[in-house]
Amino acid sequence: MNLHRYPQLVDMLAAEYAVGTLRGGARRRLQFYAEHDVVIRRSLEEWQQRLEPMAELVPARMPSAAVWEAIEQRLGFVSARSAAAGQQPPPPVPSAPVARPARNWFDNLAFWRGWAIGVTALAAIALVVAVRSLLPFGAGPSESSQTVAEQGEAVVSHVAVLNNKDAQPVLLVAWDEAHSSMTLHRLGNVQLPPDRAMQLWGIPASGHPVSLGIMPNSGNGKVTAGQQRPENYAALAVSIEPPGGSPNPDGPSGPVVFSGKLLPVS
Amino acid sequence: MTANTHELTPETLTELLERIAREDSAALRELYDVAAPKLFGLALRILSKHEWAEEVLQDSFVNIWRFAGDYRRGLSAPMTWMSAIVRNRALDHLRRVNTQETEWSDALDDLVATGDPDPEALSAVSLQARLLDGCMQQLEPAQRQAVALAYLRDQSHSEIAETLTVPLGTVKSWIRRGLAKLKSCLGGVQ
Repeated sequence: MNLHRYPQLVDMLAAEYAVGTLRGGARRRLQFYAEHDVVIRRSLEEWQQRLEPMAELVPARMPSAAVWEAIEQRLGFVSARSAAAGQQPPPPVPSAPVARPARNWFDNLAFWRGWAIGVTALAAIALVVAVRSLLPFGAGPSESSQTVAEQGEAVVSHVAVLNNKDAQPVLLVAWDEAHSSMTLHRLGNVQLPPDRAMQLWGIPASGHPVSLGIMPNSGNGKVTAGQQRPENYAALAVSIEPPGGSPNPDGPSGPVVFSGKLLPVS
Repeated sequence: MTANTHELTPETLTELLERIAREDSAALRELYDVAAPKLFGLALRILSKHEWAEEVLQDSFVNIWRFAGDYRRGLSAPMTWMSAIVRNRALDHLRRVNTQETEWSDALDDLVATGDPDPEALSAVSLQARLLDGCMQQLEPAQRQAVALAYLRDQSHSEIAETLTVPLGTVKSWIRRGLAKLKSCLGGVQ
């Protein structure tokens, strides 16, 4: 049969081929024709191109963190990465038994909490004083649509100073429980890689970290606390995440860069 | 949480694939961060089972790592290329487990939205996908379901008839009419 005399039939067969309902012998025959006939081949390819994007229309879902770990293992990234980490200067106090964080260290709550202990009681007192002096200047004028008058007076119930890995304070978080908001003040250098976001986490005494939202890139501004209560968290931490935040709802996917204890002010 | 979708632009994804082709493992991680949810959604739609979908996602990223060098920009959008890998892995998995299970009807409802498309979600997909989405919306719901089942789940006419509990002839005509409508809506391939 000369299929070229029936262009509409060819087109429909190509469509059924691409969508997958052309099966068995009919499918093999069309494939055979396509291999020898440029018109039929083009018709097939056009239909495949029309339908291919359908796969993208499916709603996104979050895979569990174990998937990435398995990929790393299969591709042998894990050993390569720890080797690379070993080369990075300077190795701090080589004599001390430095416990390298486990590969999935961000899942390890003890690690988070251990880190948060860096903030001493003394620092906390200094902090409360600092909060009082900083708060009236609050978020920059452009960073909130609300005026100070509309907000009412901020009542800071809890504060946290978040340190970086070198124990330098970089971020002050003042939690206003009455207004369900947190005011962030940058205290030190906050370096954010391009196309990344900083995500703020509450670390409870037990259980997994809870996202408190995405921070402004500058490190200054407000984050809405919503239903979150500061009493529920022993510490706060910041991780570097893809825009939109960690794909894992139960914890950071990227490195934790800052952390500190969350303390009541009164 | 504000979903910043600009990382899913074809340009960004193409750059990542080029870095991956040069064996840059950090680029694979970046690609995973931005593309895995979308691709996992696809695997889950085809397979229904969480464990299977995760296995397929894992397989797919291993494949993306190995074959990123084969990706040719211009031939297809990067998201389309990756989706094809996931779909093929998923269908392969489905054939291997040889399942007749179909927990599909609910999934169909949000497969190709019948209501307002979420503009933010759509900005994350390729232009071609947005065009296709617009045209899929113009099909009758039954036609849309039949076409989606055939393409995404690789179901035969009779399997679809069983899934949707309608006669075989009805399914055939839904798919034919659906495809014809899609063609007149999408026009020739650019």
